[in-house]
Amino acid sequence: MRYFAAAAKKDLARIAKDPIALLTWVGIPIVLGGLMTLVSSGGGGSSPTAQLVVTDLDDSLLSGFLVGAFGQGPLAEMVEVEQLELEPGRARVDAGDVSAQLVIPAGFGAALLAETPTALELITNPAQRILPGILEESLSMLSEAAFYVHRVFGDQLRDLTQGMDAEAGPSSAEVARISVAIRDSIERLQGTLFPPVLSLASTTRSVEDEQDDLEWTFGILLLPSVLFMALFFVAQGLSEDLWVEREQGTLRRAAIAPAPFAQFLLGKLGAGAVVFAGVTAVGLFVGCSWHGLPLSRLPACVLWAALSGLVLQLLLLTMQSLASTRRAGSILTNVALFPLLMIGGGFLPLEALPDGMAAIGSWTPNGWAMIQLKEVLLYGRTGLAFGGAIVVQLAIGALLFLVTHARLSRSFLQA
Amino acid sequence: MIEIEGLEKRYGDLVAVDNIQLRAEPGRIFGLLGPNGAGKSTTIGCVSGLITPSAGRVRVLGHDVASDGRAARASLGVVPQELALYEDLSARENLAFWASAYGLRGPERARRVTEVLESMGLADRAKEPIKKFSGGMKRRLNFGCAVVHRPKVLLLDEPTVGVDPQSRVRILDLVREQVEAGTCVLYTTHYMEEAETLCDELAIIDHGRIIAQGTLPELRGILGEMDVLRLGGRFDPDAVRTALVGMAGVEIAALDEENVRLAVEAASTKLPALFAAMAQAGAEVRETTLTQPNLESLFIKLTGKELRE
Repeated sequence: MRYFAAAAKKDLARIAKDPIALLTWVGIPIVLGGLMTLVSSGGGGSSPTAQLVVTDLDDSLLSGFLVGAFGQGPLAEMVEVEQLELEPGRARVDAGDVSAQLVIPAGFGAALLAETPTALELITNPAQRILPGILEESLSMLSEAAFYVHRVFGDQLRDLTQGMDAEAGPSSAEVARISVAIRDSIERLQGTLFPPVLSLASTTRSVEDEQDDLEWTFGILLLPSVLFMALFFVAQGLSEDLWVEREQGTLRRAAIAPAPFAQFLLGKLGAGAVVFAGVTAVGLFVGCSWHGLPLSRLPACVLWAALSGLVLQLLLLTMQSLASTRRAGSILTNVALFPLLMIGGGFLPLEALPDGMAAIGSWTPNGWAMIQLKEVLLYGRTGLAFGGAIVVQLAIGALLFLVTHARLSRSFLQA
Repeated sequence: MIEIEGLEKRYGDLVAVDNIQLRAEPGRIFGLLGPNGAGKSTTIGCVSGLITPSAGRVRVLGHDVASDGRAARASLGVVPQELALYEDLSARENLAFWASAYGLRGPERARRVTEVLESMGLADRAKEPIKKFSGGMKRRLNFGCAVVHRPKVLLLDEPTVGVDPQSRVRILDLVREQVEAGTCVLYTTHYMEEAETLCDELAIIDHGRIIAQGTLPELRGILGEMDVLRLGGRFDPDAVRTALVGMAGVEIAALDEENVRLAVEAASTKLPALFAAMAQAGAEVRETTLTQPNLESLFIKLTGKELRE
């Protein structure tokens, strides 16, 4: 086994003397992953909000409801409302400080209750396109809502408005009457809106369910993808060394040496294991620190990822050994690499892929290995299933090693 | 010692090596001389264990290459035709790695690497990546990697192809040093002069077959005292053949419309008669070359073609 160590040392020295290649193999996935994270998170900054100036010339209960609606629910996160008089509001729009000005005309509330035509005026900032569009759409939805509210609670609203307009306000008896009328309307509608088809199901939630509910950000889910993309690129680069060795004659010289050729090949894998472990350790340390994942899971993750990298290296070595020329080998491995990366969650997390594609991807070598990594990295599961996965990986690796060794000994060297 | 019996290698219908028999002794250089594609490298490949023979047997120091390959390979050093080095590693790293491949360890390996670096004249540049080396330096290192483990049998496959004259002389000296230390050398080349000056015994190989074998005096004996006369110009082959047939001490080795090659006994005395006969045959001679007997003239006599063709 000393020859194995010498072969691994030799290959590590060769890799170390070409740091640009290693940086390229690792750098491309990091850049791609970073870009995808930025695209998916909008750069990590706060969401843009529309600045809306409202000029309420009606100043009625209903116009107040309309203005208040912009501060309710999801709209409140998208729209920031400021009430101003007509001219100062117009000046803000002209200065480009706000997205739009909404002018509620005098008599809006009365017209709505009387079901006579009335018009809201929305003056938009021409320098902006998306935010005024959001406001226009929101206003359209509110108008629709007002129409249906009026259909159901029109009488009660009218009574309430008249009561509010009175100098002393509505009496307690009026408030009670309007409330009862509203409740009666709701009860009448309940049979239509809430048919008794809903049933309450009671289930006991497991710890796993609760863990599944943990909110994984896109960045966390992308971390294993970026890692496996890097492992794949490193494996591809290392597998091409077979052709370098053949072209420079060293593979033949190794084959005619008395030391077992298998140890020479194992040396390549040994050097690969060191590179895979190094890339994984650094990548996961940075990733876990960044995303707040427990560092205690790193050793198992590094072990698994390095083992998976070796199997990928062996897979690509086998393909290279099947090719008749270096160019054919490159084409063959690329034809396998990119579809596997695409479908196996290398470019995007499996969770972000369509269900059918994710189901297929989970059976690809990298997809399956990545799922196992997530089990350890995200949930800390290192039990029997993890041990079984290691055994499966070792068995696949051993099989690929035998095929590669046979190909190299028989055809590849003598070609 | 190398013993080859009935060696044969076929690639489909192509017979690369056909029934080769030879025996190379310790402390001597056995040369395989032949043109490119004659089967020299295939023979070396079979001896080194890289190529599996179709038939026949190869033994190195008594170890059968097929059945006891590891022991046979342990005694072998191979200098391949092309360089077989790690360009991005230094000379010391290259030598250390190949020494490990032949079982050298620890201080012994370090000591031997230093010795080889010195004997190859590379000690002062031992730590540089060899991609900075000249072609001749790389050739010497290539040789060094083959002898770093002190092999008892050394195979050299055209080690001087593409090498500058100075490096060629150095490499040939290194080969002689190995032989003086008792190493058995099998040396392939298509350079006739190299084979004549270096080899103790020779086999001339063409189309995978050995067509002549023996020491240099023995091979010269096959040729006799015949000189090689080459004539260039325009010839009527039938007329020339008719004119020369029956001339004592003249043999036609090759003949076409532009070239005539003749093996001629004491050619200088026969030149006037030869030119008269050529003139009678209507030949237009523009170029004449007369060569003393050597391996090339033997090759021409045996195959009808020049060694470098």
